[in-house]
Amino acid sequence: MSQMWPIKNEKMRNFHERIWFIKYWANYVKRNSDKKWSDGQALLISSQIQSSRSFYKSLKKTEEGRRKIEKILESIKEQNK
Amino acid sequence: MEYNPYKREIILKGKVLNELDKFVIDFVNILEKFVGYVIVSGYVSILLGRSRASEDVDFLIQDMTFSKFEMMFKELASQRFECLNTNQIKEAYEMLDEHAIRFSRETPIPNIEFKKITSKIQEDAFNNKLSVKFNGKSLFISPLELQIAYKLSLMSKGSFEEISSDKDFEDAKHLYEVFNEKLNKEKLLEYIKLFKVENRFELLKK
Repeated sequence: MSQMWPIKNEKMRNFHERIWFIKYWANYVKRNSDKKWSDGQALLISSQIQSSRSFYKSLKKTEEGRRKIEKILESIKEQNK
Repeated sequence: MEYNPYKREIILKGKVLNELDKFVIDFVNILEKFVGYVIVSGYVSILLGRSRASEDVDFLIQDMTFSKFEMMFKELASQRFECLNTNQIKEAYEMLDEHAIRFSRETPIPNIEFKKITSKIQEDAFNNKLSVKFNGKSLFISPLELQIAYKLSLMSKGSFEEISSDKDFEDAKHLYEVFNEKLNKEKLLEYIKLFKVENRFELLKK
């Protein structure tokens, strides 16, 4: 039980750090031009989407990969039901 | 970022488009020829500066006839958007009465979650939508007050540990911090009460 406390404290600290950053970033967005904040944001978002596209492209190359894509599509369909 | 609550518009000057913006704009360029829409949930916060990506973009749409849906579906297909649920147009149209359907291009992520307006609160989002103008394009999004309350309602309902990394809380917090001075506080409280998220709102204000 005593070992649980450090985890709880760690999560609490993590939460406060994340909220600090949300406030910091919101302030950055307010104080800077749209061009400036969106430039940094685009790097983050576009790189994630591009890596997702590369991942699917490489999966498509093999039979096993195509089966995995089918499974992913099935799970997406299930989410909507 | 300029928000004019009276004109119900937000202007972004010189926004650098990311891959998600381009994906959404390409979809909307077709969608808006056929039906009215409003974007809700995560992409609203992202469009307004939140520093995170998203797997999907949520659209609420007005009811539409089958013939309009068919034309839209074919035009989407001609631009390489495919419906992840089915490639049968009639089946996709009928699914809309039951649940959302999804469209993607080339890869399943990111995708568009496409859902018919079925509730009073969704109608509210549509009727009071804001126009976000950037790079010669307009996108319609849910009103900010509704968006903040809705995001708080989506948060995990568990303990503090469970909400400590909650993206929905962070999305709400971002909108609250960026637009705080211009939010309609009366309207916000109305939505907070409607969604019964008073406690979470207290946490958000800290």
